[in-house]
Amino acid sequence: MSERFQLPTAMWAVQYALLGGHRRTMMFVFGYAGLLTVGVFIVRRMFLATPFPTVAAWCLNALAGIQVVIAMLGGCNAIHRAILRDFENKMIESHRITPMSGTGVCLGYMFGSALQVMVSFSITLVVAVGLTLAAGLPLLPLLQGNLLILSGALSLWSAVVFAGMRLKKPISPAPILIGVSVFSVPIMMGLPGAGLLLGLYPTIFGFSVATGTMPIPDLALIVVVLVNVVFAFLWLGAAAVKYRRPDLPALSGRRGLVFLFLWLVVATGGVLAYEYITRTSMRGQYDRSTALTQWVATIIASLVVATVVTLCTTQCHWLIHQGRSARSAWDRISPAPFRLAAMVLVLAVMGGLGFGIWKDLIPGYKVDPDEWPRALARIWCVTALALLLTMITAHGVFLSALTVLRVKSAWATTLGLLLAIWALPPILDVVLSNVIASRDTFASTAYTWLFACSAPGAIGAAWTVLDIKLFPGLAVQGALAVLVTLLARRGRTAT
Amino acid sequence: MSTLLTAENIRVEFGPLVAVRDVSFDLPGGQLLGLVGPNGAGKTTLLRVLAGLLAPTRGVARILGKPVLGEHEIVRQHVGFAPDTPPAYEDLTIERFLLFIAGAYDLSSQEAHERLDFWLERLWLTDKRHTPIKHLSKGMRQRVTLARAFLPRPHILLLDEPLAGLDPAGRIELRGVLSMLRDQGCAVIVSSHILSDLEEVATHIAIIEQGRILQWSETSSLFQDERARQPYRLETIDDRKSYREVLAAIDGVSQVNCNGCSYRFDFHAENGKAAELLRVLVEQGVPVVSFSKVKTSLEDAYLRSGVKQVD
Repeated sequence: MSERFQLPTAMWAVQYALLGGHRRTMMFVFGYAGLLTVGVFIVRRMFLATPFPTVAAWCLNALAGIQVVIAMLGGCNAIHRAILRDFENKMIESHRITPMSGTGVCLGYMFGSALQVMVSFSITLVVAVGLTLAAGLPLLPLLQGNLLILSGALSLWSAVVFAGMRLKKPISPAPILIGVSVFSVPIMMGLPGAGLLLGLYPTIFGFSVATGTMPIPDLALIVVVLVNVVFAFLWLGAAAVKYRRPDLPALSGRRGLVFLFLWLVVATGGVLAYEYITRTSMRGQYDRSTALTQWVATIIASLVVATVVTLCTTQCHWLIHQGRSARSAWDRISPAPFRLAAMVLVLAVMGGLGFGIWKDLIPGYKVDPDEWPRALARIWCVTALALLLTMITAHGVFLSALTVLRVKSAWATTLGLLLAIWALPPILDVVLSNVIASRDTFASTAYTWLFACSAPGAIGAAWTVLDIKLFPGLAVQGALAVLVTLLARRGRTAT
Repeated sequence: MSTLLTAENIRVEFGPLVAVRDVSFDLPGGQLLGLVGPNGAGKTTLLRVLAGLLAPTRGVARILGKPVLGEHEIVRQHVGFAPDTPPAYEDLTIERFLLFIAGAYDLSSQEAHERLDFWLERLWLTDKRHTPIKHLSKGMRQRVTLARAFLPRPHILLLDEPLAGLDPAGRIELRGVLSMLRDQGCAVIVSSHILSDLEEVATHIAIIEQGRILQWSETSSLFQDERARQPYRLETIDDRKSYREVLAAIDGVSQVNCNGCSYRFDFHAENGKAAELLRVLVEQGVPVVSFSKVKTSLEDAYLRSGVKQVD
């Protein structure tokens, strides 16, 4: 199912008309530009005694803040409102029966409805450039910062389009954006890759770079911009697929693997960039011990992404098996090879980084350096096995939810059950050891093999060289995978 | 005419509810299929599947031999769909909205304006072309929806309740338009509750009930079947039970239905025998007020098909 790409001129034109056309746009342009200019003049008049470059720097800080708010909140909300309006007046269905390509329609929503936002962004930039030049301040940081903000906004806008096409009724992105911003520090500390994925890096650093408080090397700038552009393409592609075929998952096996690969690159890059940024820009306040936590969190997050990919292939294969038409030959391929490919991809992309972090951070008293090759082989085997068993379990649980439980929302049920399977053993282990410790003062509160019955537990224990038996836990995971696979097979035969 | 639209074992399930049950048919160009059935019978769902807006649980819908869900761009050039709830950008004028639709079908500016003028004229919207859609009445909006469906000149037209909301003149006009499109070789499916309108334009009638096609026949043969029954209506001064017995006892009379002083029955005989029947009734003391042959309609065929209302 390949669609010819065409510029969405019709969509852009109609979105422009719905925003009020030329008249309103011109009024907006002159009004907003006038407001900013007058604002700058008022601030200058208020602080006549202060040197102009200082006043200009204050104004530039405010303008950078305005840019972040415009690009992130303003853009996302404008796109969300346009999609929601078309869901409510059913115009989205009218678009669906036209030959406009899915990508074209999504681009139409993205750039058509955010037109005023882009105009305001440009005006703010022009005013900021004028102010910078007038004050004799360096221009490069301002341009770099705005480029970062814009690249982050692009990636977020396309994610909003995807969310709008995926859901039955689009939800507002504002609470999510605000929530993510509030928790930005813990998110970036624990899972630096998510910082890139959620547009936090470009937004926060874009603001810092634009205000001149944080210099950014050219290479880092290019990488962050490129990553965001690639993610924008990925979200848009997924949105286009969902726009045309809401019944099928957005990710086919092939797209799923591409997404997983990109996530792995971003996640690995996130861990690396965190050290780089803190060393270069935060004047060496980097705590090396956080790298291991970030590494374990990242590999567990990769496990979640790989599981989502495998669930997409399972759903796709099931629907095709039920008689739905396929989008492409990739939809027809059994999920098993994708599971294997996902596992190999995770291990291959993250391998080098994992070893680097591990050998630097695991102290010699835990593992004799002579024993490193053997220990690492064991760790990688445990990781690979936990990944594979998780994906098999997810596949079985999803099919069982469809065929045995016959629930309406197989995705929510599967993710809920998987979360329970992952969280319960470690919780139980902690509770049990504390109960024993409360009865016997001399008893150990250390983790037991129960901790490794959960895939994230096993992975975490392996990488941090916890002194527990891993293989009984893996055996339990294996038994669970076999059990749900048999259950799913039975359900499938019955239907 | 070659087949333009094909439905192959289409089945749609919404959880435990089966909305469409294994429906299959071919529709060549030049045919207009009237889709009739009670509320909730699955007409709209079937049309949405054929338009490619809904993926069937099983089965395939094909346009010009290509699956609707597979070859989007090619297929969508050939399908026009007018849903029962007219989608529109309320703030736009009729002209601006339809020009957007023309742009979505990649029509050149000149072509778009020519077609726009034609359809606005044909659907009596010329005077309103600069009126925002939000200021239009229900019937006018329905015309805009129809203009939207006709504008790209599709080979296949799927119209869900297109006559609802139209005034009598509008219905007559639309019947003319539908006949014209049918005669030009389009394959048209019209779902409607206004059966008298379908009688005039439909070449085929499909009666759908609980997602299943109960009856599929040419409109002309449906009327032949109905005419063969020769229904009559009789009205009497009073409503004695004995009149019904008298009627039922006459040779050739069947299906006697009584409603007060009014009787409806089938009389299987040649036309000339009707006078004989009237004479017998008068002779037997039935106080006849009126005696007439009932004009057969699609509604009779529909009611006799045994279709049940869905709860």
